[in-house]
Amino acid sequence: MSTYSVTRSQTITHTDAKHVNWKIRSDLRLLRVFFDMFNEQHEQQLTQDLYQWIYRGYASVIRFVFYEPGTEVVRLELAYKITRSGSVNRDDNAGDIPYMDLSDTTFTTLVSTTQAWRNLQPTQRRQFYQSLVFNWGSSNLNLVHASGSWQSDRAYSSNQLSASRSIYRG
Amino acid sequence: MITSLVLHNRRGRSIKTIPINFESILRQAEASPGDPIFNLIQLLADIVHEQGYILNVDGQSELQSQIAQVVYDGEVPSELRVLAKDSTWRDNMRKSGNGRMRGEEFLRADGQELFDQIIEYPEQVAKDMYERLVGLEEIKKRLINEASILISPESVEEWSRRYHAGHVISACNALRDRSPFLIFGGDVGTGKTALAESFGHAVAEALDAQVRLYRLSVLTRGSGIVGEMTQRITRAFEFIEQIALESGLPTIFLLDEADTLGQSREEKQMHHEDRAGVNALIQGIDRFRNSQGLVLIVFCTNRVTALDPAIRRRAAEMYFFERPNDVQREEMLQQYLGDLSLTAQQMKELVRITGSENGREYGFTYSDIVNKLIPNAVLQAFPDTPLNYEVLLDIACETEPTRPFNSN
Repeated sequence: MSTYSVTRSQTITHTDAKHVNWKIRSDLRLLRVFFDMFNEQHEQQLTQDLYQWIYRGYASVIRFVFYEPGTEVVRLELAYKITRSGSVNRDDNAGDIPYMDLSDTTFTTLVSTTQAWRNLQPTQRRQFYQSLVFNWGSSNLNLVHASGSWQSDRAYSSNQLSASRSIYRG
Repeated sequence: MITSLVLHNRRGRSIKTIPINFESILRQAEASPGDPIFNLIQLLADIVHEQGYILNVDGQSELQSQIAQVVYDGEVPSELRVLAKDSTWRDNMRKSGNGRMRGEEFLRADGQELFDQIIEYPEQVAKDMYERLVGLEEIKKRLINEASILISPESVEEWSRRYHAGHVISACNALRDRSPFLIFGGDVGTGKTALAESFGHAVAEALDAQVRLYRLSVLTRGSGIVGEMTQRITRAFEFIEQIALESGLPTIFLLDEADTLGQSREEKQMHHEDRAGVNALIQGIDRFRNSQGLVLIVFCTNRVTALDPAIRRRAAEMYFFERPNDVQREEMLQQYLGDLSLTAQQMKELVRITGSENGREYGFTYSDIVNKLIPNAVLQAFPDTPLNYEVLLDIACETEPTRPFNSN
Protein backbone atom coordinates (compact mmCIF):
# COMPACT_ATOMS: atom_id res chain seq x y z
CA MET A 1 0.00 0.00 0.00
CA SER A 2 1.44 3.41 -0.93
CA THR A 3 1.51 6.16 1.55
CA TYR A 4 1.80 9.78 0.79
CA SER A 5 3.01 12.60 2.88
CA VAL A 6 3.01 16.29 2.22
CA THR A 7 5.88 18.37 3.47
CA ARG A 8 4.62 21.65 4.81
CA SER A 9 6.91 24.62 5.01
CA GLN A 10 7.68 25.84 8.51
CA THR A 11 7.92 29.43 7.35
CA ILE A 12 4.86 31.59 6.84
CA THR A 13 5.41 33.50 3.63
CA HIS A 14 3.65 36.42 2.02
CA THR A 15 2.12 33.88 -0.35
CA ASP A 16 0.55 31.97 2.53
CA ALA A 17 -0.83 35.20 3.95
CA LYS A 18 -2.22 36.15 0.57
CA HIS A 19 -3.95 32.79 0.14
CA VAL A 20 -5.71 33.00 3.50
CA ASN A 21 -6.44 36.69 3.12
CA TRP A 22 -8.03 36.19 -0.29
CA LYS A 23 -10.37 33.56 1.07
CA ILE A 24 -11.43 36.02 3.76
CA ARG A 25 -11.80 38.63 1.08
CA SER A 26 -14.15 36.33 -0.82
CA ASP A 27 -16.37 36.22 2.27
CA LEU A 28 -16.11 39.99 2.61
CA ARG A 29 -17.15 40.38 -1.00
CA LEU A 30 -20.24 38.27 -0.41
CA LEU A 31 -21.09 40.45 2.57
CA ARG A 32 -20.79 43.51 0.35
CA VAL A 33 -22.95 42.01 -2.37
CA PHE A 34 -25.60 40.66 0.00
CA PHE A 35 -25.93 43.57 2.38
CA ASP A 36 -24.60 46.58 0.45
CA MET A 37 -23.23 48.31 3.52
CA PHE A 38 -19.85 49.26 2.09
CA ASN A 39 -18.49 49.78 -1.36
CA GLU A 40 -15.86 47.99 -3.42
CA GLN A 41 -13.14 50.46 -2.54
CA HIS A 42 -13.76 49.85 1.15
CA GLU A 43 -13.55 46.11 0.48
CA GLN A 44 -10.22 46.49 -1.36
CA GLN A 45 -8.66 48.74 1.25
CA LEU A 46 -9.86 46.62 4.14
CA THR A 47 -8.45 43.52 2.46
CA GLN A 48 -5.10 45.25 2.13
CA ASP A 49 -5.02 46.19 5.79
CA LEU A 50 -6.15 42.74 6.95
CA TYR A 51 -3.34 41.26 4.90
CA GLN A 52 -0.81 43.26 6.92
CA TRP A 53 -2.43 42.25 10.22
CA ILE A 54 -2.28 38.57 9.19
CA TYR A 55 1.09 38.48 7.42
CA ARG A 56 2.96 40.32 10.17
CA GLY A 57 1.52 38.17 12.93
CA TYR A 58 -0.49 40.76 14.85
CA ALA A 59 -4.04 39.49 14.36
CA SER A 60 -5.35 36.68 16.52
CA VAL A 61 -9.02 37.11 15.55
CA ILE A 62 -10.60 39.10 12.72
CA ARG A 63 -14.29 39.89 13.06
CA PHE A 64 -16.81 41.23 10.58
CA VAL A 65 -19.71 42.43 12.69
CA PHE A 66 -23.19 43.74 11.91
CA TYR A 67 -24.68 45.23 15.05
CA GLU A 68 -27.59 47.41 16.07
CA PRO A 69 -26.35 50.93 16.81
CA GLY A 70 -27.41 52.06 20.26
CA THR A 71 -27.91 48.65 21.84
CA GLU A 72 -24.75 47.18 20.20
CA VAL A 73 -26.53 43.85 19.91
CA VAL A 74 -24.87 41.67 17.28
CA ARG A 75 -27.07 40.35 14.53
CA LEU A 76 -24.46 38.70 12.33
CA GLU A 77 -20.77 38.11 12.88
CA LEU A 78 -18.06 36.28 10.98
CA ALA A 79 -15.05 35.60 13.19
CA TYR A 80 -11.75 34.22 11.89
CA LYS A 81 -9.33 32.76 14.39
CA ILE A 82 -5.82 33.10 12.99
CA THR A 83 -3.30 30.42 13.93
CA ARG A 84 0.30 30.11 12.87
CA SER A 85 1.12 26.68 14.22
CA GLY A 86 0.06 24.43 11.37
CA SER A 87 -2.57 22.81 13.59
CA VAL A 88 -5.32 23.34 11.02
CA ASN A 89 -5.03 21.33 7.81
CA ARG A 90 -8.29 22.15 6.08
CA ASP A 91 -8.48 24.61 3.26
CA ASP A 92 -12.17 24.91 2.45
CA ASN A 93 -13.86 27.03 -0.15
CA ALA A 94 -14.96 30.47 0.91
CA GLY A 95 -18.58 31.55 0.88
CA ASP A 96 -21.84 30.02 2.15
CA ILE A 97 -22.88 32.99 4.21
CA PRO A 98 -26.44 33.18 5.55
CA TYR A 99 -28.66 35.91 4.22
CA MET A 100 -30.60 37.98 6.77
CA ASP A 101 -32.26 41.36 6.89
CA LEU A 102 -29.55 43.61 8.29
CA SER A 103 -30.83 46.89 6.95
CA ASP A 104 -30.94 48.55 10.34
CA THR A 105 -27.46 47.55 11.44
CA THR A 106 -23.98 49.06 11.30
CA PHE A 107 -21.01 47.20 9.90
CA THR A 108 -17.59 47.20 11.49
CA THR A 109 -14.37 45.22 11.39
CA LEU A 110 -12.48 44.38 14.57
CA VAL A 111 -9.08 42.84 15.08
CA SER A 112 -8.00 41.20 18.31
CA THR A 113 -4.26 41.36 18.70
CA THR A 114 -1.59 38.82 19.51
CA GLN A 115 1.08 38.84 22.18
CA ALA A 116 3.52 39.88 19.47
CA TRP A 117 1.54 43.11 19.08
CA ARG A 118 1.53 43.77 22.80
CA ASN A 119 5.29 43.28 22.85
CA LEU A 120 5.84 46.00 20.28
CA GLN A 121 7.34 49.33 21.27
CA PRO A 122 5.15 52.42 20.71
CA THR A 123 7.27 53.54 17.80
CA GLN A 124 6.90 50.16 16.10
CA ARG A 125 3.14 50.26 16.53
CA ARG A 126 3.12 53.72 15.04
CA GLN A 127 5.15 52.54 12.06
CA PHE A 128 2.79 49.62 11.55
CA TYR A 129 -0.28 51.88 11.65
CA GLN A 130 1.38 54.17 9.10
CA SER A 131 1.64 51.26 6.68
CA LEU A 132 -2.13 50.71 6.77
CA VAL A 133 -4.76 52.38 4.62
CA PHE A 134 -7.35 52.96 7.32
CA ASN A 135 -6.90 54.71 10.65
CA TRP A 136 -7.06 51.86 13.13
CA GLY A 137 -7.47 52.51 16.83
CA SER A 138 -8.93 51.11 20.02
CA SER A 139 -12.60 50.18 19.91
CA ASN A 140 -14.94 51.20 22.70
CA LEU A 141 -17.83 49.04 21.50
CA ASN A 142 -19.49 46.76 24.03
CA LEU A 143 -20.96 44.24 21.63
CA VAL A 144 -23.66 41.95 22.95
CA HIS A 145 -24.28 38.46 21.65
CA ALA A 146 -27.77 38.21 23.06
CA SER A 147 -29.68 35.10 22.08
CA GLY A 148 -28.07 33.73 18.98
CA SER A 149 -25.69 30.89 18.31
CA TRP A 150 -22.22 30.28 16.97
CA GLN A 151 -21.25 27.73 14.39
CA SER A 152 -17.74 26.85 13.31
CA ASP A 153 -18.07 25.94 9.71
CA ARG A 154 -14.84 26.12 7.75
CA ALA A 155 -11.16 26.94 7.68
CA TYR A 156 -8.75 28.46 5.20
CA SER A 157 -5.11 27.47 5.42
CA SER A 158 -1.79 27.58 3.67
CA ASN A 159 1.16 25.78 5.23
CA GLN A 160 1.41 26.91 8.86
CA LEU A 161 -1.11 29.73 8.54
CA SER A 162 -4.83 29.26 8.93
CA ALA A 163 -8.06 31.17 9.55
CA SER A 164 -10.84 29.18 11.21
CA ARG A 165 -14.25 30.73 10.57
CA SER A 166 -17.20 30.83 12.95
CA ILE A 167 -20.53 32.49 12.21
CA TYR A 168 -22.86 34.00 14.78
CA ARG A 169 -26.50 34.62 13.96
CA GLY A 170 -28.45 36.72 16.40
CA MET B 1 15.82 40.29 -10.34
CA ILE B 2 17.93 43.03 -8.79
CA THR B 3 16.25 45.81 -6.86
CA SER B 4 17.93 49.18 -6.44
CA LEU B 5 17.91 50.51 -2.89
CA VAL B 6 18.20 54.23 -3.49
CA LEU B 7 19.31 56.28 -0.50
CA HIS B 8 18.21 59.91 -0.59
CA ASN B 9 18.62 62.95 1.66
CA ARG B 10 15.86 65.14 3.09
CA ARG B 11 15.77 67.18 -0.10
CA GLY B 12 15.02 64.05 -2.11
CA ARG B 13 18.41 64.01 -3.76
CA SER B 14 19.85 60.54 -4.34
CA ILE B 15 23.09 60.00 -2.47
CA LYS B 16 23.80 56.31 -3.11
CA THR B 17 22.29 53.34 -4.95
CA ILE B 18 22.80 49.86 -3.54
CA PRO B 19 21.84 46.79 -5.60
CA ILE B 20 20.07 44.11 -3.55
CA ASN B 21 18.39 40.77 -4.12
CA PHE B 22 14.99 41.63 -2.67
CA GLU B 23 13.52 38.12 -2.92
CA SER B 24 16.45 36.59 -1.12
CA ILE B 25 16.31 39.16 1.67
CA LEU B 26 12.55 38.69 2.00
CA ARG B 27 12.99 34.92 2.32
CA GLN B 28 15.57 35.50 5.02
CA ALA B 29 13.23 37.91 6.83
CA GLU B 30 10.31 35.47 6.71
CA ALA B 31 12.47 32.62 7.99
CA SER B 32 13.40 34.60 11.10
CA PRO B 33 11.04 34.83 14.06
CA GLY B 34 8.87 37.91 14.46
CA ASP B 35 7.41 40.45 12.11
CA PRO B 36 8.81 39.72 8.63
CA ILE B 37 8.64 43.35 7.58
CA PHE B 38 10.53 44.62 10.64
CA ASN B 39 13.03 41.82 10.03
CA LEU B 40 13.40 42.88 6.42
CA ILE B 41 13.91 46.52 7.37
CA GLN B 42 16.58 45.48 9.85
CA LEU B 43 18.37 43.46 7.17
CA LEU B 44 18.22 46.44 4.81
CA ALA B 45 19.41 48.75 7.60
CA ASP B 46 22.42 46.45 8.12
CA ILE B 47 23.20 46.61 4.41
CA VAL B 48 22.90 50.40 4.48
CA HIS B 49 25.12 50.50 7.56
CA GLU B 50 27.84 48.52 5.84
CA GLN B 51 27.88 51.14 3.14
CA GLY B 52 28.48 53.89 5.69
CA TYR B 53 24.96 55.23 6.07
CA ILE B 54 22.19 54.93 8.58
CA LEU B 55 18.41 54.90 8.37
CA ASN B 56 16.71 57.19 10.82
CA VAL B 57 13.14 56.73 12.06
CA ASP B 58 11.67 58.60 9.09
CA GLY B 59 13.65 56.41 6.72
CA GLN B 60 12.38 53.26 8.36
CA SER B 61 8.77 54.44 8.16
CA GLU B 62 9.23 55.33 4.50
CA LEU B 63 10.70 51.92 3.77
CA GLN B 64 8.02 50.11 5.69
CA SER B 65 5.20 51.70 3.70
CA GLN B 66 6.84 50.72 0.43
CA ILE B 67 7.57 47.16 1.54
CA ALA B 68 4.05 46.66 2.90
CA GLN B 69 2.70 47.56 -0.54
CA VAL B 70 5.27 45.41 -2.33
CA VAL B 71 4.52 42.23 -0.40
CA TYR B 72 0.79 42.82 -0.79
CA ASP B 73 1.11 43.31 -4.53
CA GLY B 74 3.43 40.31 -4.75
CA GLU B 75 5.79 41.91 -7.25
CA VAL B 76 9.53 42.37 -6.84
CA PRO B 77 10.17 46.13 -6.98
CA SER B 78 12.75 47.59 -9.31
CA GLU B 79 13.56 50.34 -6.84
CA LEU B 80 13.05 51.17 -3.18
CA ARG B 81 13.75 54.73 -2.03
CA VAL B 82 14.71 55.46 1.54
CA LEU B 83 15.82 58.46 3.58
CA ALA B 84 19.33 57.94 4.94
CA LYS B 85 22.25 59.93 6.17
CA ASP B 86 25.98 59.60 6.25
CA SER B 87 27.26 57.94 9.38
CA THR B 88 29.37 60.71 11.00
CA TRP B 89 30.87 58.69 13.75
CA ARG B 90 32.40 55.79 11.86
CA ASP B 91 35.91 56.82 12.89
CA ASN B 92 34.95 56.78 16.56
CA MET B 93 33.41 53.34 16.69
CA ARG B 94 34.77 49.82 16.42
CA LYS B 95 32.85 47.16 14.54
CA SER B 96 31.93 44.14 16.54
CA GLY B 97 32.65 40.66 15.20
CA ASN B 98 29.47 40.41 13.16
CA GLY B 99 30.09 43.72 11.45
CA ARG B 100 27.43 45.73 13.26
CA MET B 101 28.25 49.12 14.72
CA ARG B 102 27.93 49.14 18.51
CA GLY B 103 26.28 52.24 19.90
CA GLU B 104 27.48 51.45 23.39
CA GLU B 105 30.98 52.52 22.31
CA PHE B 106 29.77 56.07 22.73
CA LEU B 107 29.78 55.68 26.43
CA ARG B 108 33.44 56.46 26.29
CA ALA B 109 34.76 59.54 24.60
CA ASP B 110 38.43 60.41 24.95
CA GLY B 111 38.67 57.95 27.81
CA GLN B 112 35.89 59.51 29.89
CA GLU B 113 32.30 58.43 30.17
CA LEU B 114 29.68 60.65 28.57
CA PHE B 115 26.94 59.48 30.90
CA ASP B 116 27.20 58.89 34.62
CA GLN B 117 23.87 57.18 35.00
CA ILE B 118 21.84 54.85 32.81
CA ILE B 119 18.53 53.52 34.07
CA GLU B 120 16.16 51.13 32.37
CA TYR B 121 12.50 51.36 33.43
CA PRO B 122 10.33 49.88 34.80
CA GLU B 123 12.61 49.77 37.81
CA GLN B 124 11.72 49.19 41.44
CA VAL B 125 14.07 51.77 43.01
CA ALA B 126 12.76 54.44 40.66
CA LYS B 127 9.20 53.37 41.39
CA ASP B 128 9.75 53.71 45.14
CA MET B 129 11.42 57.08 44.71
CA TYR B 130 8.61 58.32 42.48
CA GLU B 131 5.94 57.24 44.94
CA ARG B 132 7.75 58.82 47.86
CA LEU B 133 7.65 62.23 46.16
CA VAL B 134 4.50 63.52 47.82
CA GLY B 135 3.05 66.96 47.31
CA LEU B 136 3.94 66.87 43.62
CA GLU B 137 0.78 65.16 42.41
CA GLU B 138 -0.28 67.98 40.14
CA ILE B 139 3.17 68.20 38.53
CA LYS B 140 3.40 64.42 38.22
CA LYS B 141 0.05 64.17 36.47
CA ARG B 142 0.87 66.88 33.94
CA LEU B 143 4.38 65.55 33.47
CA ILE B 144 3.38 61.96 32.71
CA ASN B 145 0.75 63.09 30.18
CA GLU B 146 3.16 65.54 28.57
CA ALA B 147 6.08 63.10 28.49
CA SER B 148 3.96 60.26 27.12
CA ILE B 149 2.78 62.44 24.25
CA LEU B 150 6.25 63.81 23.47
CA ILE B 151 7.85 60.37 23.51
CA SER B 152 4.99 58.58 21.85
CA PRO B 153 3.01 60.96 19.61
CA GLU B 154 0.86 58.13 18.27
CA SER B 155 -0.83 57.93 21.65
CA VAL B 156 -2.51 61.30 21.05
CA GLU B 157 -3.44 60.16 17.53
CA GLU B 158 -5.15 57.09 19.03
CA TRP B 159 -7.00 59.37 21.43
CA SER B 160 -8.10 61.57 18.52
CA ARG B 161 -9.38 58.60 16.53
CA ARG B 162 -11.31 57.34 19.52
CA TYR B 163 -13.07 60.62 20.23
CA HIS B 164 -13.26 62.22 16.79
CA ALA B 165 -14.87 59.63 14.55
CA GLY B 166 -11.66 57.95 13.51
CA HIS B 167 -9.89 61.17 12.48
CA VAL B 168 -6.62 62.68 13.59
CA ILE B 169 -7.68 66.26 14.22
CA SER B 170 -5.49 69.18 13.12
CA ALA B 171 -4.90 70.24 16.71
CA CYS B 172 -2.62 67.20 17.10
CA ASN B 173 -0.17 68.82 14.67
CA ALA B 174 0.52 71.56 17.19
CA LEU B 175 1.86 68.91 19.56
CA ARG B 176 4.09 67.47 16.84
CA ASP B 177 5.72 70.85 16.19
CA ARG B 178 7.10 71.14 19.70
CA SER B 179 10.59 70.10 20.73
CA PRO B 180 10.59 67.08 23.05
CA PHE B 181 12.29 69.15 25.71
CA LEU B 182 11.27 69.92 29.30
CA ILE B 183 12.86 72.12 31.95
CA PHE B 184 12.54 71.40 35.65
CA GLY B 185 13.34 74.53 37.62
CA GLY B 186 13.18 75.53 41.22
CA ASP B 187 14.84 75.84 44.54
CA VAL B 188 17.27 73.32 45.97
CA GLY B 189 15.79 70.23 47.59
CA THR B 190 12.39 70.61 45.98
CA GLY B 191 12.39 67.25 44.20
CA LYS B 192 13.47 68.27 40.69
CA THR B 193 16.28 65.78 40.28
CA ALA B 194 14.50 63.02 42.17
CA LEU B 195 11.50 63.41 39.88
CA ALA B 196 13.68 63.63 36.78
CA GLU B 197 15.40 60.38 37.69
CA SER B 198 12.23 58.50 38.58
CA PHE B 199 9.37 59.67 36.36
CA GLY B 200 10.63 57.37 33.61
CA HIS B 201 9.13 54.50 35.60
CA ALA B 202 5.67 56.09 35.46
CA VAL B 203 6.09 56.79 31.76
CA ALA B 204 7.08 53.16 31.17
CA GLU B 205 3.91 52.06 32.94
CA ALA B 206 1.75 54.57 31.07
CA LEU B 207 3.13 53.48 27.70
CA ASP B 208 3.39 49.83 28.68
CA ALA B 209 6.92 49.87 27.28
CA GLN B 210 10.55 49.90 28.37
CA VAL B 211 12.05 53.35 28.78
CA ARG B 212 15.70 54.30 29.23
CA LEU B 213 17.32 57.28 30.92
CA TYR B 214 20.81 58.59 30.18
CA ARG B 215 22.14 61.27 32.51
CA LEU B 216 24.87 63.46 31.09
CA SER B 217 28.04 63.37 33.13
CA VAL B 218 29.18 66.49 34.98
CA LEU B 219 32.58 65.73 33.48
CA THR B 220 31.17 66.97 30.20
CA ARG B 221 32.48 70.42 31.05
CA GLY B 222 35.75 68.77 30.15
CA SER B 223 39.24 69.32 31.43
CA GLY B 224 39.66 72.79 29.98
CA ILE B 225 40.98 71.73 26.60
CA VAL B 226 39.52 74.08 23.99
CA GLY B 227 36.69 72.47 22.05
CA GLU B 228 36.42 69.47 24.37
CA MET B 229 33.15 70.49 26.02
CA THR B 230 31.44 71.22 22.72
CA GLN B 231 32.65 67.95 21.28
CA ARG B 232 31.39 65.95 24.25
CA ILE B 233 27.96 67.62 24.19
CA THR B 234 27.62 67.00 20.45
CA ARG B 235 28.68 63.38 20.83
CA ALA B 236 26.24 62.87 23.66
CA PHE B 237 23.32 64.02 21.51
CA GLU B 238 24.55 61.91 18.59
CA PHE B 239 24.74 58.90 20.85
CA ILE B 240 21.25 59.44 22.22
CA GLU B 241 19.85 59.66 18.69
CA GLN B 242 21.69 56.53 17.62
CA ILE B 243 20.87 54.45 20.67
CA ALA B 244 17.20 55.41 20.54
CA LEU B 245 17.07 54.50 16.87
CA GLU B 246 18.83 51.17 17.37
CA SER B 247 16.89 50.13 20.43
CA GLY B 248 13.53 51.58 19.42
CA LEU B 249 13.03 52.39 23.10
CA PRO B 250 11.69 55.71 24.41
CA THR B 251 14.77 57.48 25.76
CA ILE B 252 15.12 60.27 28.32
CA PHE B 253 18.26 62.39 28.12
CA LEU B 254 18.79 64.17 31.44
CA LEU B 255 21.07 67.12 32.09
CA ASP B 256 21.18 68.08 35.75
CA GLU B 257 22.44 71.50 36.85
CA ALA B 258 21.82 72.60 33.31
CA ASP B 259 22.72 76.21 34.13
CA THR B 260 26.39 75.17 34.41
CA LEU B 261 26.42 74.24 30.71
CA GLY B 262 23.49 76.23 29.34
CA GLN B 263 24.21 79.62 30.85
CA SER B 264 22.97 82.61 28.94
CA ARG B 265 25.30 83.79 26.20
CA GLU B 266 24.44 87.31 27.23
CA GLU B 267 26.58 86.98 30.35
CA LYS B 268 29.54 89.33 29.97
CA GLN B 269 31.95 87.01 31.74
CA MET B 270 31.28 84.00 29.57
CA HIS B 271 34.21 82.25 28.00
CA HIS B 272 33.93 81.58 24.26
CA GLU B 273 34.07 77.83 24.97
CA ASP B 274 31.02 78.18 27.20
CA ARG B 275 29.21 79.99 24.39
CA ALA B 276 30.14 77.22 21.99
CA GLY B 277 28.86 74.73 24.54
CA VAL B 278 25.52 76.53 24.74
CA ASN B 279 25.31 76.50 20.95
CA ALA B 280 25.96 72.77 20.99
CA LEU B 281 23.11 72.30 23.47
CA ILE B 282 20.74 74.32 21.29
CA GLN B 283 21.71 72.35 18.21
CA GLY B 284 21.28 69.14 20.16
CA ILE B 285 17.74 70.09 21.21
CA ASP B 286 16.90 71.09 17.63
CA ARG B 287 18.12 67.71 16.38
CA PHE B 288 15.04 66.11 17.89
CA ARG B 289 12.45 68.61 16.82
CA ASN B 290 9.98 67.05 14.39
CA SER B 291 11.67 63.69 15.04
CA GLN B 292 8.32 62.03 15.76
CA GLY B 293 9.03 60.82 19.25
CA LEU B 294 11.37 58.41 21.04
CA VAL B 295 13.68 60.96 22.70
CA LEU B 296 12.77 63.31 25.53
CA ILE B 297 15.32 65.85 26.80
CA VAL B 298 15.08 67.09 30.40
CA PHE B 299 17.13 69.88 31.93
CA CYS B 300 17.14 70.45 35.71
CA THR B 301 18.30 73.76 37.12
CA ASN B 302 18.14 75.88 40.24
CA ARG B 303 18.34 79.01 38.09
CA VAL B 304 15.92 78.94 35.19
CA THR B 305 16.57 82.61 34.41
CA ALA B 306 20.28 81.89 34.02
CA LEU B 307 19.58 79.54 31.12
CA ASP B 308 20.12 81.02 27.69
CA PRO B 309 16.78 82.40 26.36
CA ALA B 310 17.17 80.31 23.22
CA ILE B 311 17.19 77.21 25.38
CA ARG B 312 14.26 78.33 27.52
CA ARG B 313 12.00 79.15 24.59
CA ARG B 314 12.57 75.73 23.06
CA ALA B 315 11.08 73.99 26.05
CA ALA B 316 7.68 72.40 25.41
CA GLU B 317 6.98 72.99 29.09
CA MET B 318 8.73 74.32 32.18
CA TYR B 319 7.89 72.79 35.52
CA PHE B 320 8.53 74.92 38.59
CA PHE B 321 9.25 73.26 41.88
CA GLU B 322 8.73 75.06 45.17
CA ARG B 323 9.31 74.28 48.75
CA PRO B 324 6.38 72.37 50.20
CA ASN B 325 3.58 74.41 51.73
CA ASP B 326 1.87 73.44 55.00
CA VAL B 327 -0.40 70.90 53.35
CA GLN B 328 2.43 69.29 51.44
CA ARG B 329 4.72 69.18 54.45
CA GLU B 330 1.98 67.51 56.46
CA GLU B 331 1.44 64.99 53.68
CA MET B 332 5.14 64.20 53.66
CA LEU B 333 5.38 63.95 57.44
CA GLN B 334 2.34 61.66 57.48
CA GLN B 335 4.02 59.41 54.93
CA TYR B 336 6.99 58.82 57.20
CA LEU B 337 5.46 59.29 60.64
CA GLY B 338 1.88 58.17 60.13
CA ASP B 339 2.41 54.95 62.07
CA LEU B 340 3.68 56.71 65.22
CA SER B 341 0.21 57.62 66.54
CA LEU B 342 0.93 61.34 66.75
CA THR B 343 -2.06 63.45 67.67
CA ALA B 344 -3.47 65.99 65.25
CA GLN B 345 -2.13 68.78 67.45
CA GLN B 346 1.37 67.29 67.49
CA MET B 347 1.39 66.91 63.72
CA LYS B 348 0.18 70.50 63.37
CA GLU B 349 3.06 71.68 65.54
CA LEU B 350 5.62 69.77 63.47
CA VAL B 351 4.17 71.31 60.33
CA ARG B 352 4.45 74.75 61.89
CA ILE B 353 8.03 74.28 63.07
CA THR B 354 9.16 73.10 59.63
CA GLY B 355 7.56 76.13 57.96
CA SER B 356 8.77 79.71 57.75
CA GLU B 357 8.88 81.18 61.23
CA ASN B 358 11.00 83.15 63.70
CA GLY B 359 12.03 85.65 61.05
CA ARG B 360 12.92 82.92 58.58
CA GLU B 361 11.36 83.45 55.20
CA TYR B 362 11.67 79.90 54.03
CA GLY B 363 10.57 76.54 55.31
CA PHE B 364 12.00 73.08 55.03
CA THR B 365 12.52 71.58 51.60
CA TYR B 366 11.44 68.03 50.78
CA SER B 367 15.01 66.85 51.15
CA ASP B 368 15.41 68.71 54.48
CA ILE B 369 12.57 66.59 55.83
CA VAL B 370 13.51 63.30 54.21
CA ASN B 371 17.29 63.49 54.38
CA LYS B 372 17.84 65.50 57.58
CA LEU B 373 14.90 65.72 59.97
CA ILE B 374 13.60 62.18 59.91
CA PRO B 375 16.90 60.29 59.69
CA ASN B 376 18.41 62.45 62.46
CA ALA B 377 15.36 61.87 64.63
CA VAL B 378 15.70 58.11 64.17
CA LEU B 379 19.41 58.31 64.99
CA GLN B 380 18.62 60.33 68.06
CA ALA B 381 16.18 57.72 69.34
CA PHE B 382 18.25 54.69 68.35
CA PRO B 383 19.08 52.45 70.17
CA ASP B 384 17.66 53.26 73.58
CA THR B 385 14.40 55.13 73.18
CA PRO B 386 11.39 54.99 70.87
CA LEU B 387 10.91 57.57 68.18
CA ASN B 388 8.24 59.89 69.52
CA TYR B 389 6.93 63.42 69.26
CA GLU B 390 9.43 64.89 71.71
CA VAL B 391 12.40 63.56 69.76
CA LEU B 392 10.94 64.80 66.50
CA LEU B 393 10.26 68.23 67.92
CA ASP B 394 13.79 68.56 69.30
CA ILE B 395 15.38 67.63 66.00
CA ALA B 396 13.00 69.85 64.03
CA CYS B 397 13.96 72.82 66.21
CA GLU B 398 17.67 72.09 65.86
CA THR B 399 17.64 71.53 62.10
CA GLU B 400 18.44 74.48 59.92
CA PRO B 401 16.57 74.25 56.61
CA THR B 402 18.58 74.65 53.42
CA ARG B 403 18.87 78.27 52.37
CA PRO B 404 17.29 79.17 49.07
CA PHE B 405 19.71 79.23 46.16
CA ASN B 406 21.72 82.47 46.04
CA SER B 407 20.35 83.75 49.35
CA ASN B 408 22.55 85.20 52.14
